[in-house]
Amino acid sequence: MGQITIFYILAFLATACSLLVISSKNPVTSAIYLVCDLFILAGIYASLQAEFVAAIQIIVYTGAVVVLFVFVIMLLNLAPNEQSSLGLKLPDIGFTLLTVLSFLIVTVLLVNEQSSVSGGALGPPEAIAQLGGNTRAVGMTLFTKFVWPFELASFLILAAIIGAVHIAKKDPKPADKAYGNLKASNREKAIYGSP
Amino acid sequence: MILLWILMLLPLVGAFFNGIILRKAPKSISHAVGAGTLIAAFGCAVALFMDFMGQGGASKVVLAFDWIDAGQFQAPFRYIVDRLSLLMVLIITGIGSLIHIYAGGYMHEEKATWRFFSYLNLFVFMMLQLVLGDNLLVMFIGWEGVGLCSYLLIGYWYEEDQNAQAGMKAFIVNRIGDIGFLIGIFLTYKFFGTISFSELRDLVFSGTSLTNGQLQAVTWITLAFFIGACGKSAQLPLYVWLPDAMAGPTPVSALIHAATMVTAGVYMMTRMHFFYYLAPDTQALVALVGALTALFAASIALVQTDIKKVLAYSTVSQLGYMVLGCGVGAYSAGVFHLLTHACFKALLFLGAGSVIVAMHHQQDMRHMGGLKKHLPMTHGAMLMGLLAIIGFPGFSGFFSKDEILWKAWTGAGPWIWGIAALAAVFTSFYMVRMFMLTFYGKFRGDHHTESHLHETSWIMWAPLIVLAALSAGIGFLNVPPLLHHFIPLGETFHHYLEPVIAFPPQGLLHWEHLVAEHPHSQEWMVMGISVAGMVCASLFAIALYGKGFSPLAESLARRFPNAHKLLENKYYIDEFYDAAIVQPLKDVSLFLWKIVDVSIIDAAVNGIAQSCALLAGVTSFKMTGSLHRHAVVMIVGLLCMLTALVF
Amino acid sequence: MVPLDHYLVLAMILFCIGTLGIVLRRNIIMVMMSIELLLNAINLVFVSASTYNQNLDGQVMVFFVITVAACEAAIGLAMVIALFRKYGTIDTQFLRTLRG
Repeated sequence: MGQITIFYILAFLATACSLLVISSKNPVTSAIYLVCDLFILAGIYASLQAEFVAAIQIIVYTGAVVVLFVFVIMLLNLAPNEQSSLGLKLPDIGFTLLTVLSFLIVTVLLVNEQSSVSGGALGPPEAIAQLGGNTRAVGMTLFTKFVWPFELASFLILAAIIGAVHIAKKDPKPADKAYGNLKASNREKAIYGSP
Repeated sequence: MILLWILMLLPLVGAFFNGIILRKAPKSISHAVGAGTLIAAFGCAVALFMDFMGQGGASKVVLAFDWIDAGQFQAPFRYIVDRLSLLMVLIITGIGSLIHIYAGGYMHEEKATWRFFSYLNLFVFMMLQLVLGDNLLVMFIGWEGVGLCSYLLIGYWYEEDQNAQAGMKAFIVNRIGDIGFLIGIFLTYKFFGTISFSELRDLVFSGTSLTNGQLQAVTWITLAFFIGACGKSAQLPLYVWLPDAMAGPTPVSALIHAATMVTAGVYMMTRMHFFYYLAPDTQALVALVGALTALFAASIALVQTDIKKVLAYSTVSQLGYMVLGCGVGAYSAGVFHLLTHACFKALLFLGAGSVIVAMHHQQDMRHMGGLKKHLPMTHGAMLMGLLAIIGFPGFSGFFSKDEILWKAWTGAGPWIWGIAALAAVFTSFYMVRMFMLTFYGKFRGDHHTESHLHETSWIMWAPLIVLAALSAGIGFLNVPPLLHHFIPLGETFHHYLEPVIAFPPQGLLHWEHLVAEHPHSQEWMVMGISVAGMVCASLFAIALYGKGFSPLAESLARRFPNAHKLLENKYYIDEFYDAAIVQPLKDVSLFLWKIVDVSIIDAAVNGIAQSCALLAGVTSFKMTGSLHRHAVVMIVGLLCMLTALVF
Repeated sequence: MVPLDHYLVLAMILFCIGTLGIVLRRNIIMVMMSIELLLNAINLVFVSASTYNQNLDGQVMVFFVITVAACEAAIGLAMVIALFRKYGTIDTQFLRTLRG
């Protein structure tokens, strides 16, 4: 009983945080809510006996990726009117309802068919403990069965590093900063010329 | 056997040196290299021959190196040294060296003699491969190689468009014959499991009976090879390249188109004699085609005015005789005629070359005449050749041609003999005509040329003398039994060649008719008719042309204008081929190109590309560039996919 | 003892919210954060499936998904910086050069 209660609490919080993420005006606020959301999800992972994944989520995802986001937001130094709000228009509302409805229908249908599969049995804590803990077990699998993807992932990271550094480098010649100071309507004309 | 390898490689080395290294060398050097290698090769050939005959003259097969070894199919570079191949080698290198020596003089005004001698040496090498090869594949290499060299040499003066076209014509028509050769090789391998001459011969002669399928296949095999021979040896209907091949330099015409390459077909049929003996139907066809070719070509030669064209058609005609000899199973007669023809035809061509050089490259006999006093050596030599070719008693042509005519009478019946005999009469007529028009009567050319007429240098008439002696004397190698009473020499040549071309075991075919005894009276009659026909035709020709184009000749031409025109235009065969074969091929090709390739295939391929571009143009309007819109569309698509998955 | 369906439903809801974030926000950085939400929903599915199938492959997959998400975020943010330098805006409404 306790398990389900914890789950429902965490689930409710996760959903709330996500909604706040996408509806905040300030990007920094969104980032904070994203951090909360990730923490909550880490909690859910932990409740599923996946401690390693939870730790990784906090260290890498929260500690690095979101921090990167915040850095960039700060770097861009967005003017207040850049922080666009939700700006809901009628077609957007309709689209929103449509999307939500469709996903829910699909979920309901899928879940109904799947419910016979789950038996409510959680992971084998005894077996995992025997292997020396979740981290050790995941490590063993990673370095035996998944050693190729592991190596390729390191290549991927290397490529990402080089790519990011190169793309974000400043051009030798002065950039077109002129457009940033214009009003919105004039900006479009300045960028694309008159129609 | 080291002599054999030296013999074979010398011309190749000469070709290599002349072709690659000595391009800038003076003409005398290239001539010396070209002729020198060949004379050395001839020396080797003579030594080899002596050695070979000293050991009894039994056939030997030597292996150079393994080439193709694919399971059941083997085609090593193996060479057969036997009486027939050595004979051919002697002819090729001997007459070849004489022609090489002569060519130095003939080509002394040319610029690129290195090219000439290189090709000529390469030709000799290829020809040696052809005659020495023990299996059909090595022979085919030589076959194709000589075809290539022929093309290269005919088009030697390639700046003139028609020379290049003549070269192409020779190559293409030869190619048509080669299809027959290839089919023959395939069938031989399929039905007999081997393409080696020695193995095939052993197979047929071993006494083991051949299966029904094999016997039937033999007819098709021999037919296929005969088609190849028609192409290479210029028989009907594939002879059309030989007259046009006269566009090449005269030594080329002498060597390739008189003495050696064109005899390759005859040699090949002699090599495959064991098959031809087993296929009497094909043999009948061979004899018929040979005789008809002889007559056909001789008739065209009657009215030709270009001295080389006369000799070209004469070659076609004489080749018809050789083929006829093969067709009636008289292989030794055919090969003997090959030998004598090589001598006297080379002589005639080289003599004509002397005349042409003296006349500053004028070849039309209508502008010649009375050259006897200006070119005495040439006249004397060519007289020997003339007497040989018309079959004057005592000269080589007499013995060889009469042998063939007699064997035609006994082996193929009076009709074939009649055609061949008529061709012989024509031969006498047109050869004497040519001789008279060139050397007798008044000079019909312009004064400028007349003042420059003089005998050529020794380098050109010395080979002529040698060839004249050969034309006169070589006939005595093969005196028929009929004349043993008068000329106490034996049938040396026949006995020499006999072991190679023996009849197969009796059970396999009925060859009684080929060795039946015929009464001597018939033989005398045949010989007598030939000699009489020759004499009459020669006298007629002298009467008509002894002093140039006599009024009688002109009136004859006027009386039969249509016949004259027909013969003059070579029976319009070239035009016929052009209309019936070449033009339709061109039209079909044009159709395939313009309509199938461009309009259909290209249009289809390009059309697909264009429709893709069109489609892209149509749908790319959707790409507004708005990221937002893209995202929305992606999600909508995702929803659709999900829906599809669920339902 | 929590049924698998519950986890899947939660993941679906988070996915849905992430999608809405992509569609409704005009700031590129917000779009990218919504993408992170999507990836997290997927991670949840993996982890819960791995627990219920008693197979550790799912958790290893999460490891890789996080790696890829990090790389993607890095490059995406670098591109945002470059875009901002060039156009001075990161409003998706104005970034339309990729038109057909």
